[in-house]
Amino acid sequence: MKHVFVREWRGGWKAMAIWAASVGAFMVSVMAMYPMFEEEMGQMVGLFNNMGVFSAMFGLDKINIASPMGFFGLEGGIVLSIAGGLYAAMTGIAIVAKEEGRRTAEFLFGQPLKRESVLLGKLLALAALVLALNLIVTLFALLAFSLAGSGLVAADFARLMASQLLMHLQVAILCFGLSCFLKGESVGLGIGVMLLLYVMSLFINIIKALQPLGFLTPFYYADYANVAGGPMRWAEIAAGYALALAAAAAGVLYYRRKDL
Amino acid sequence: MPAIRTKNLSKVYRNGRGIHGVDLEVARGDIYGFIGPNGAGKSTFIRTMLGFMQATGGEGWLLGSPVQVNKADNLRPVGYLPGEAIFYKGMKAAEVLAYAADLRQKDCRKKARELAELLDIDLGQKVDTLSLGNRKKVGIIAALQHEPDLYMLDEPTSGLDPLVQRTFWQYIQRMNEGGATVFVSSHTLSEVQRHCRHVGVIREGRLIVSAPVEHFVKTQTRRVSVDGEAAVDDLEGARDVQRHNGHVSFIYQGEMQPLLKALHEGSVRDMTITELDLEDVFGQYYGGQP
Repeated sequence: MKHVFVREWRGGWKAMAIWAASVGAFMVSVMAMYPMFEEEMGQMVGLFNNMGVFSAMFGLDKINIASPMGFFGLEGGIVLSIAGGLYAAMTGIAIVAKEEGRRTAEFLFGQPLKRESVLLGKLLALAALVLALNLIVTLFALLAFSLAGSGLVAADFARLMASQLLMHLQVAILCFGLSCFLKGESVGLGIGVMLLLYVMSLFINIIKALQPLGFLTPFYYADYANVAGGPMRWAEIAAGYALALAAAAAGVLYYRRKDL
Repeated sequence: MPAIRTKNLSKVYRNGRGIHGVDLEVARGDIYGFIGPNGAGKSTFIRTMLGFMQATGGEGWLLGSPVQVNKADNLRPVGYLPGEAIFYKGMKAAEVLAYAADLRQKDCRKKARELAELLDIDLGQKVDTLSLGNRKKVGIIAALQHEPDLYMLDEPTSGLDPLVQRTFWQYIQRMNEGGATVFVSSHTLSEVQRHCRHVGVIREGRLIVSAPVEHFVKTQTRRVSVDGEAAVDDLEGARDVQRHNGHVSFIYQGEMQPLLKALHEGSVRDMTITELDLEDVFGQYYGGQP
């Protein structure tokens, strides 16, 4: 298990670092522009708050985007949600299936290894990569605030970044479970699952009757508009993790007896 | 207790192909050649025995342990060389071998170096830049470096040059003399004939025959090659008659007198009578299509 973990980490850390640095650099550049927008933002808050469906979709009616924290929560939050979600989905969907897709399964499973142990090593490596990505991005975000002359609301920032980490991990675990059923890397499926969950969260913001779907999509509880000034959405987090862990458990059970 | 034993073992895919009711026994210390053309079921047999796939029927035992999917302990004393040696991109050959050794929790560095020297390969190269033959060498080292009791080698010499093939077989013979069992699949008949003590012939997933090599080549059946002409078309016991550029070649099974009479009546300038080689035997089992 340990050696599989190390192998996955070594094989994945460079791509993760590039991905994290790209997201982080984007955040820094967005926040570097904040002082230029600050004045106009103040005048536009009223407009943003009253744009109907558009305001609801992105939570503009719940947050003050004229503040640095609100501005970061909206701009940075969306970028981190999508980019981090994509990374988690693409890495998760490939991490098991790539052994068959790249035909290295013969080498790996020709060694005396329990499949469960291989899968555990891969899952832990996936979690470590997602965690590292979030840590790097968090450091960039803190840098971004210091460049913008602070304005950081520590509690909101902590809730946002913690929710994002939990959301990325949930997407990764869900896609890991799906990966066990696949014969080859199906990156398109991973992206599709991630986008479906994201779009679902947008619709929940618009149509209140869809609120129960917030228990299915992690993008809902990770939305800055839903954590700013309030507690984290533990009920939705618990439900989402139950779903993702169930998918992972089903994947592991299937993979134990799968024909490779 | 045999090294490999199967009882009515089947692995049938959805398209109906695979292996069907294979009964096989390979004694410990044997070198067993498993021959058949591509798609005959050689790799399916090996992969089912190693637990890559769930058998759809029958049973198998590897060094006395029942075969089943995901049974790690069965693989501990086994060295497996897949038909295609494919590794992780970006890794150096030495890293691949170290990874394989780590997964087995064994220090195989000394043996890996020795084998690399023997097979003449630089382990500092990245595996994705290696030629097919050199990739095969890395696969061979990965399968041999932990000095297993049972070698399961799927077409081990395909892609290797003749010199390396010879070195490989010399090493395998040495390991066999040390007590290891070798099970090797191949469609290179001369190789099997030269190095194996027992042979199994598989056709369309069914084991047609399993016997000592002598059983195939030391029979009363002979291949006769004649430079000239001989009236053998109606000769009883003659078959597979082929004529080409003033030469006649055929397989003969029967008494010598009728053969000599038929040759005497022809115009024979020169002739050879030899034992069948596995190529001929293979042709018999496959209707002339090895």
